[in-house]
Amino acid sequence: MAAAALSRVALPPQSELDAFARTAAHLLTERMPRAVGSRVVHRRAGMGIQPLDHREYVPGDEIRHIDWRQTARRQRPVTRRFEAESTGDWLMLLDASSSMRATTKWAHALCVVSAMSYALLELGHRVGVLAFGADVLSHCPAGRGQHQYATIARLLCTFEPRRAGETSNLAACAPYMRGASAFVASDFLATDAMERELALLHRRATALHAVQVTDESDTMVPDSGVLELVDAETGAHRQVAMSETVCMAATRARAAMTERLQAFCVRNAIAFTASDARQPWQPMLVRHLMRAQRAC
Amino acid sequence: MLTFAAPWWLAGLALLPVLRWLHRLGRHRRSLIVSHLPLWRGAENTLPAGPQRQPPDPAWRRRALVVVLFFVALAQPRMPASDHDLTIWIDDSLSMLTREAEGTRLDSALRAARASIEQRRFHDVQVRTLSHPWQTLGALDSDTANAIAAQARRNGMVNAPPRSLLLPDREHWLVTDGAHAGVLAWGERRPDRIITAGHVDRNVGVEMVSARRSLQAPDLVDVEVTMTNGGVAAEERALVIDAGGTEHRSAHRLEPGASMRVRAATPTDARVQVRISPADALPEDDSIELDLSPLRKRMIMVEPACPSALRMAIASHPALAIAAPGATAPDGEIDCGGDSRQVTGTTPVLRIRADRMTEFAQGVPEWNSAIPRARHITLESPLKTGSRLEVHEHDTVLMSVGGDAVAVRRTGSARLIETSLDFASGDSARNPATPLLANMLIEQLLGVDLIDRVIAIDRGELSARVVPMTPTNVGAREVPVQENRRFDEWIGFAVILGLVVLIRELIALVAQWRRLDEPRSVDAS
Repeated sequence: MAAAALSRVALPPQSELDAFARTAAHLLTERMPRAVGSRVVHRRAGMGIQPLDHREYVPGDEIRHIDWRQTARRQRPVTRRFEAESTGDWLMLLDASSSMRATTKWAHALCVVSAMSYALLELGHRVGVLAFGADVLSHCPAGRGQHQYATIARLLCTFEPRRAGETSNLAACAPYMRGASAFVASDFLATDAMERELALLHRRATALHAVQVTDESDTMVPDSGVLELVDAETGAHRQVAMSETVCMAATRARAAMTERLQAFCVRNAIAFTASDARQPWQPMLVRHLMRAQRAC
Repeated sequence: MLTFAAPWWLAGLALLPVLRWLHRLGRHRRSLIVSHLPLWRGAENTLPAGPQRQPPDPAWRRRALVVVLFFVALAQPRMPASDHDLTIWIDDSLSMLTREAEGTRLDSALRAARASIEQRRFHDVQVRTLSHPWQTLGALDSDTANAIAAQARRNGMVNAPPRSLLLPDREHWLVTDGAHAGVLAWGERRPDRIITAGHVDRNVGVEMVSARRSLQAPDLVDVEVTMTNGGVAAEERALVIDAGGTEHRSAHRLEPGASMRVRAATPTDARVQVRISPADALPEDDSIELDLSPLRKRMIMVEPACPSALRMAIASHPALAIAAPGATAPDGEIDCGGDSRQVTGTTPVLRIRADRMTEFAQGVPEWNSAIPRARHITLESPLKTGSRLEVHEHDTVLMSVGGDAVAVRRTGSARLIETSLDFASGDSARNPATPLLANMLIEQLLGVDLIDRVIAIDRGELSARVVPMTPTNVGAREVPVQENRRFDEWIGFAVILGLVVLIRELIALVAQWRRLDEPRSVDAS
């Protein structure tokens, strides 16, 4: 599928998306992750590679799916039906709060969301995208096929978080779940690391993935001296005497926050990965899917 | 002591305390946007305890310096006057003699100039007039003033001084009434001070009187008078042309700036006087006296032996007359004796040499370059000569034919012209060039133009103009001295530079305040 290139932050090129899709297909189709309490997926005919059954050919069926052996046997055209491997809906939840505005984090999150969308669409899933802040800021309804990726790419390319004042409210995405699986890309820098919101989504989603996007700029400040720090989301400010020690303390606080979040996700069977925005996204996503496959 | 041309600009220095107050909050507090403020919860303990008074932002000193320099430059500082050299250029045109309430304009302007000089210290003061810029007069006292006034009576209009005399290391003042724009046309080098005088703006003057012999009546002279209204109001004048007791009167009305020509025929008398009445503020241009003696007939003594053709040519010449025998002091003498006796006395002599058989002169006539082209005669028939003239050293050949000199001016104390032209033969009598040749020889002998001579006294166009320069043209009756001209140029440059720097600092200050309102994020991209 063609990847859109409409924005200052470029999405991954076609070649990278195809490579990831090929790798992710194996991890996404063999065994669908399930969460405790989620709905059970029934086998039904649809797009896929697992044979399901045969039926008589009706106009509109793909010619390539005609089973010629059965056709010769029955003397009537017979087509092969496959198990619908992507019968679920997926919703990409992209954190567009002000804390995500740092270019590295935002670009990394876009790459993760676009790559997952591309891979899932390749497998025939229906994929939608929600960008959320204090509320749902942008919504691309779930769809299928190459056109859907183009729509998703246009949204991702043209959307940008506000510089300040946009908070994170993951719970705003809950009404859109409708039993879909969810993939959350966020820095989770909010009150109690959005654990309550994650729990809310977890109850409504078939499967829930969470990728925490981190960047050293969250806690490393190049300046020193007395500075007035202003929270990007809430606007709260505080005067501090910046130094390397202070930065290290903030880094430790950040790490502790991540640990707590990770423990929460493990307890609730939520696939979680902390991703450094300055590292390549492909190995991180593959590891995440592998971990998710083992865990669920 | 340093002075300022525009000291009210120094009031801008009162902005300095305001500037200091604007920077009172100290070095700009930098703000930084962070992703999650609670991560820095422990950092507030690192602040120094207790309130601290911060020194003002050091940038205020730089901005204060720019403000000080800017306003000082606007105030136009002046260095203390030092000893300078001065050249005073005095307009000695006729209009400067216009009578004003306190005397002539020249007197008033010179008084003002003396007073201005006394207020300053000058190392050297030169006085020059615009009519004779290459001569320096003495000190600016009454004798000099009288000499200038006497010169002005003879002048019409004058021009601006030559640029080579406008030395850059001297101050140059101009004393004028501004009646003639040419006086102010100094080019790039402007006068450092213009001292003006004059209020009267009405005058009618006689600009030119010319005379020539009447073509219709040889005993009469045609006189032409040009009078001009050099004021701002219409004037009525009576013109009187008085020659030899004969008066021609006429009344005329002239609009402002208009000129009028009046013609009259008068007997050939020694002098003709032209005057207009009533008199006005400039009586010096109300009359002109023209000496007509240059137009009188020249008396030529012609020897009895001279050929009749020559005698007739002299007699019929409008500017010549044959002197009676025995006349004393004729203007010239024609000697046809043919001998080569030495000429004594002061009377110019034209000697006709005829000491051989006459023969036709072969060739084309050639003329001395001193003879005007208008006097070159086209010969329709060949000339005859009766002698061969020898040309000695320092003699001047006036005319030659075929390489032979036929008219030679001899050197010597007396004026002597010898010619070998034959005026006696019948061919010469019938030759239409004979009177012209005789005219040419007599003109060269006497050194004057005899035919169509015009004499005139011309004061110059617009010499009657007396309308003084208005204060709006000058800015003031005395234009302030441009001391330290180069210093002023640097001040202008400093003002522009200061303005540019000030604007830049203001922009930086505004940007600084905006940064206070919109804190930057850690990720500056």
